[in-house]
Amino acid sequence: MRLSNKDSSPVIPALFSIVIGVLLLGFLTHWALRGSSSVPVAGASPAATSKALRLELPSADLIERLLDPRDLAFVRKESPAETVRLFEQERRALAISWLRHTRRQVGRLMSYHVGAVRQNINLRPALEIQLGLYYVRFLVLYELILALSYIRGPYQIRLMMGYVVGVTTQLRGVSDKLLGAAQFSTPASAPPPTQ
Amino acid sequence: MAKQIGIQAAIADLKKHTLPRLPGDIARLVYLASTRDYNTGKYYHEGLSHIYTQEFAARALQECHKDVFQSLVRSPIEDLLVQFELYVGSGCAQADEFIDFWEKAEPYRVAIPLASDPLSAQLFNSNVKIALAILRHRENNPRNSSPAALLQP
Repeated sequence: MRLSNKDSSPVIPALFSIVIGVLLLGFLTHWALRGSSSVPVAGASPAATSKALRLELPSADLIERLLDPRDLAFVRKESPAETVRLFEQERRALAISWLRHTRRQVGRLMSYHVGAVRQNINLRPALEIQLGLYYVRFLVLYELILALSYIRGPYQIRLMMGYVVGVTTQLRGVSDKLLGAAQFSTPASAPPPTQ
Repeated sequence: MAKQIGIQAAIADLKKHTLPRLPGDIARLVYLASTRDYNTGKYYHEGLSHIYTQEFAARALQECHKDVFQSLVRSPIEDLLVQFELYVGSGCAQADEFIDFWEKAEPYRVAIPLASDPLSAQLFNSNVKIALAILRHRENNPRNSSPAALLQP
């Protein structure tokens, strides 16, 4: 009672389609639940909205200090190979830690916007598109730098880290403008009436 | 306004009289961290509280602690090493004992001000670790010592 190849051929594609369908459904459910749980609600207090929207980033000069080539030159000159290796490992770990922290912050910002759009806050389309473009640019840079830091070491990504700082500063600028718009669209945060 | 003036006066006092007597920024960091209560995180300084108030003294210590820490975080490793050599050279401990203890117990981790951002704290810890490794290397190979180290007693 063995099935011939001819008999089993329609079963395999059907099973494959079912598995793909289930995975897709699972992914969509996960995405929908994640989006709704982590987003601050529109109409929340201005302080909460502000906290949700503002990007808390370490200063750009700290990133420059972190990847200052003078340190690498000094460590190479003054210490044995194992210390140089330790130094490069530490610098790579710190650069990646900073990148991931920035990614989380930017992710929070975008989650807020997804939630805000769902709740029909009066957002400005031009700024939304600008924010979207910066976000895509940020994601491309993030993935590229992450890969490069593993392949070529932390000092090769120094210039690109500068770009990340630039893009996140632009993101922060747009988010501040949007924050103003969002705050003035909710009665709780409207400015007090003048006497 | 009066509060700000009081705090600024206490900071100026600390910067003029107490901190310059300490040999370098590592010594200042250790000193300022030691004025912070391990249980509450509040800063205490009897002399300063006597002249100003407890609140102003605590704020002044906190601000100076933050400043010294930021200065160290923003220093190149070469300068950090000079600070370590000044500190060890001041006679706080034998160099090898100091390096052993700092590498094992990592007391520098509790010298970080509470309000520091995580990246600054991580960078400081990493730089200290590297500076200690270089100090250890110099200790084992005296010919590599810097001029600053040779000047110390």
